[in-house]
Parts: sequence; C-alpha cells; structure tokens
Amino acid sequence: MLSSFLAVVSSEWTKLWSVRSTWWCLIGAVALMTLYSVPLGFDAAEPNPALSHADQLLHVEEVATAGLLFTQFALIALALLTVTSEYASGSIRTTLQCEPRRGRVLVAKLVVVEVVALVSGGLLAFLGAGLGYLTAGGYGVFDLSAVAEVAGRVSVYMGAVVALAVGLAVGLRSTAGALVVAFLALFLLPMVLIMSGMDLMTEVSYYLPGTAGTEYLGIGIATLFGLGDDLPYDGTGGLGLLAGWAVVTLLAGYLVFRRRDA
Amino acid sequence: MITLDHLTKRYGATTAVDDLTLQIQPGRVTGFLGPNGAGKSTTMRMILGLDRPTSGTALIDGRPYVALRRPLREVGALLDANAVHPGRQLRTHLVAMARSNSIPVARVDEVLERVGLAGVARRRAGNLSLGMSQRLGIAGVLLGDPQVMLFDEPVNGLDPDGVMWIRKLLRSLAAEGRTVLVSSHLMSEMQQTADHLIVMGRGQLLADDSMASFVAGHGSLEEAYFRLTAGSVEYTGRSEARGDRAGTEVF
Repeated sequence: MLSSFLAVVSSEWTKLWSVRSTWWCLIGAVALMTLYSVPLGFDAAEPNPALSHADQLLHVEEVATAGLLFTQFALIALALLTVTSEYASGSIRTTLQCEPRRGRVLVAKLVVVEVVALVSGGLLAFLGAGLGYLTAGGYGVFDLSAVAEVAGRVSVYMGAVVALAVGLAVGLRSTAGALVVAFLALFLLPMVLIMSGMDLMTEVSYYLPGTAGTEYLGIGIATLFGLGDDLPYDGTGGLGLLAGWAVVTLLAGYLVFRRRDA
Repeated sequence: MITLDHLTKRYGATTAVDDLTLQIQPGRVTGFLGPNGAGKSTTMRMILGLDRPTSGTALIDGRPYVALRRPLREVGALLDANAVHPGRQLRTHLVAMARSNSIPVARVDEVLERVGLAGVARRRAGNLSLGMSQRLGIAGVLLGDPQVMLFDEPVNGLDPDGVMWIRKLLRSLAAEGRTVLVSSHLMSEMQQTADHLIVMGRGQLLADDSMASFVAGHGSLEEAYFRLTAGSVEYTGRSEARGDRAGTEVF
C-alpha cells in the first residue's frame, strides 16, 4: 500500500520537473527576491546623517521576510500549476486513470509541492539576506543564527501557503481563478480592509490568511499599519490560523475533487 | 470483461446514458457506434471511474475501476489523444504514467517502438501531429499490457497507413484474448475491424449484436447503421428538422 502510494508520488515528481513552467516559477522567485533585496541593500548603504550608525544598520533577515511578500506568489503559481495545468490540458484524466483514488492523487501532489516549498522557501530567505548583506556596504548585519531562524520560518510559512494553493487549485481548477483568490487572501484583501479604516473591516482582516501568516513571518501586514497590538494572536497563533485556513481549503478542495466528474 | 448494469448518467434534465445493461466480452473487437451525443464517451468515462454514474454500475472483471490497484496493468484507455501536457516530452509523459503503476521504465521504450514514435521520443507533446498524438495515446494503452482496452475514436487524424496499422493492432490484441472496445464514426473501417457491435442512440442501447447478424439483410454496415439510428440523431439539418408536417403545410 505504501509502495503504491510512493509510486504515485514518484510519478508526480517526474511530472513536476518535466515541464518548463516549474523552472520558470523558480527562476521568477529568485528574480523577485533579487529585485527586492538588492535595492533595499543599496538604500541602506547610503549614509544617513540624521540617523546614528546603530539605527541605520540593516539586519538582513528582515530583507528576506519583506521580499517574501511578493516572492511567495512565484511558488504559489508553481503549486497551483501541478493541478490546474492538468485540467487545462485534459491530462488530469490520465492522472486519474493511473491512480483513480483521488485522495491519494491529492496527497501525492501535496507531498511533491511541499518538498519544493520547504526547501526553496529556506533557500530564498538565505538568498534575500545574502544579497541584502552584500549590497548594504558597511551597514549590513548578517547574524547567521538570526538568518537561519528566519529561513526556517519562511520555509514553514511557504509550506502552509502552498497547501492552501493546492486546495484552491483542486477546488477551482483554473490557474487564473486560483491565483487571483490566493493573491486576494494572502495580500490584497488584508491591505484593502485595513486601509478602509472601518473597525469591522479591520477586525475581519485580522482573520484572513495573509494577515495571520505575515504576523508569523515577522512582517505582519497589521503590524505595518501600526495595528499589531490589536491582533488577537501572536506569531505562533498566526501560523496556527494560516494552517487552519490551509487545512480547511484542502478539505473543501478534496470534497470538490472527489465528487465532480473529471 | 466489462459489465455494465443499469448504468445511468443524468446531467440535470438530460439523460446522457439511460439504463445501459450489457457485457463486453474478451477475445473479440467490440465496435461502439452511435451518433454524436449518443453517450459513448460518457459510458467510457464511467467505466474508467472518471465520471460518477447517477445509478447503476460499471465493472471490470467484477470490480469497479477505482478498486483496481495499479489499474494501468488491467485497463488501458485512449479517450482524448490531446489530453497530454503540451510542454512535456512524450517519453517523459509515458515514464510518469509507468512510475505511477510501478511499470519498468524499459517498457516505455518498448511501447514507443511498437507505435512508431521511438524516433521522436524527446519531442514535446504539444508539437505532435494529431496522428502522432493518437499513437502516443495508444502507447499509453499498451504500457501496462492490460487485458482490457478502450479506444475512443482512435483513427482520428491517422493517415491510411495508420488506419490500417490500428486495424491490425486491434485485431491482434483481441486475438490475444483481450477485451477490446473501440468507438468510431467510420463505418467502413469499423466493418473491417469489429466482430461485435454495440450501438447507442440518445443514451439508450439500440443494438448489441454480432457484426454478421447486424449487417445481414443490408448492403453494408453503414446502411444498417443509418436504418437503426435514423430516429436518434441529436442534430439534424434544416430539411429533416422541419419534418413532414412542415413539408405538407407548405406544399
């Protein structure tokens, strides 16, 4: 039973690395992280007479987390495409002929995507921090243990986010649809709701996956707006809430996947 | 052997497959005929567990498709030749299929050779002609060396050599004792390939008969088929659609 499941995982692994979109998404992630961290580093390298040397220091682990706000969508696209590209081409039928038990197909896809997210999330954090340090001149502070701790957090965060993405993908089947919902839930909607200035909207935004997840990352969207103290949870709670969203989305996606004709 | 028992599929008010009960026997080529919209493809998808029947069952040697372990070793199916990720090399497409069912990768090269695609194994599936796509789909059917095989319109896009190749292939697979179900709209081709016929119209079974007795009394399979399905065509041209009543009123 385990061996037949591993066979399906192996098949998904082969499929993931045999399409160009996977590589483009990874290249895109590296490019986005670079585009974010390099200017930030150069900016920090400019001496600012209004600030003391200590205040001007750039702790480069913060570069990695901030850069992730955008970079994450490249990995989200990679995760979605493992499902939605099969619906677009019709090859989902081939997949289900190979393994008709749909729960197993879903878990196998999830396993493959998780491996990529956990590994590349950590590596991207190191990339962002490293580039920030290299470009920040004398102001960069690269504390290995701090960077490693953040890399671990980024890795876990990406793991939760791609699970959410796979759930959206099996539920919605369309690349554009799933990507738009992911962008709304993880980024745009928390921002817009908080910027509305209305208490109810702000309260709602606290419970969205984007607000919760970024709080765990340490660059909370609510905190950016000065509302960090109002949040009903801390960083760990934020991870819990994000994971809850991921689990619920996956279960909902699974129900759709199981019931609907392929 | 494939056994359908009161198999029914409804989409809202439309009944795509209506209470189909029949057996598809091994050792012969069973032709699957019917106008567009007759329910042939839906029936095949239900046999493969892709579509869920509204009621009834479709069993393969007594088990539903979803209960099969390593199903490619028991059932091979070509439904839609283009249902391949266009960016994937065709050999990799087959390797991924093989891995999922623990089929040795060497078998991939064997079937590529058998369908005549060994020379283009590294080409991306999106760059294949329809005829080559059909051959790739057939390679997928043969991959697990299954006893039951389903082909939906396998000769679409094939050149005359390809058509003859398919005919010989299907006949030899059936001669090896396999269950072979093949749908087609090409009557003269079907007449040369199939031993047995299942004809559907508007979701219902119209005929389940041997080729010889189905054609008996008619000039050809085509003639017998048109006679049988005359009332079951989903879309008809203007003259037929108006029917006799309109005709008598005008003239």
